[in-house]
Amino acid sequence: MANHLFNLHSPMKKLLTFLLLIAFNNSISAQKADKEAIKVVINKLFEGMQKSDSAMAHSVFHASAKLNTIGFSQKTNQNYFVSENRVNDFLEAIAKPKTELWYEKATSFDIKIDGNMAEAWVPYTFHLGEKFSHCGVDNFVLFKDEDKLSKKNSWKIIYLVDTTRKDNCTK
Amino acid sequence: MKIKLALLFIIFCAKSQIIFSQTFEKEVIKKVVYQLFEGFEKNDTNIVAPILHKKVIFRAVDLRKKPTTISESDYTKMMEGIAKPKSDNWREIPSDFEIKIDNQMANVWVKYKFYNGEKYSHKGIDNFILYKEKDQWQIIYLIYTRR
Repeated sequence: MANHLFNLHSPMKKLLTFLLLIAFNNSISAQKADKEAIKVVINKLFEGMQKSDSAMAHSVFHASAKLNTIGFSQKTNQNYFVSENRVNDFLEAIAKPKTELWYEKATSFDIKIDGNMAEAWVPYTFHLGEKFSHCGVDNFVLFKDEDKLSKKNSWKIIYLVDTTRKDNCTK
Repeated sequence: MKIKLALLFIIFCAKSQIIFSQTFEKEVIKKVVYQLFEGFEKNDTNIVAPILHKKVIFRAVDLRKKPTTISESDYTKMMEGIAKPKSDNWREIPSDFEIKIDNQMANVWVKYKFYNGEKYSHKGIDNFILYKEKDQWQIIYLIYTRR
């Protein structure tokens, strides 16, 4: 029986190879589907920001989400790190009616996934209405969790930290 | 012609400098990760203190559990965990570093294997986010999976 298994031309071997191929393909397409789902989550956040719709923005954050920021102060000519959790401030700022809408756009996505954990490195540009404001990188961490309402698994943002700058931007 | 060549040379130098400084910075960041693991292995919080931001967030995703669980820890708890005397010291071995940098922010995605002394315990991915303040890279966020 053992010899039979290792025979290249045995039907058993062919079947095993075939099953392995299917499993491999499945995991690749599952990764692809996850990456697409993560892009949708991030773009939904940007859409919420543009529409001043804090409920929409809120829906992509995990209950335990934290938000930090790395800024640059022109006054001191130095970087600073805001380590306080800014999720609530951020949602309040989104909700505020504006004359110039926030228009944040991803210029590329670099997404890595391990099981239910993912990281997205997303260079972005930010416009106030038509006017270019700044650019930088959003570094998202996401967790795939069961949604309490739909009972389905979905990706949520559990952490976001970003850099902000005025120069060296691809517009 | 000469001016053109000189210009090309200057551009070439500038480009290599950018690539060189990124490569250099990546090595510095790798050392920060190794320094954390050295602190683990030696039960030494002094080794770890300079590279951990005081507001660092630790999150663990346990993929062995169904459904997957996620837990949270902080600077104080991590330091207590490192300082605690153990019969088998923590040994964490990284491999396949993938590092991205944007000015003062960096992300490290790295495979690891975790041992208690000589005994293999588990493996997974460490996902670090670092912030550089005054020439010192510090870990501001670490999320890891366990398998």
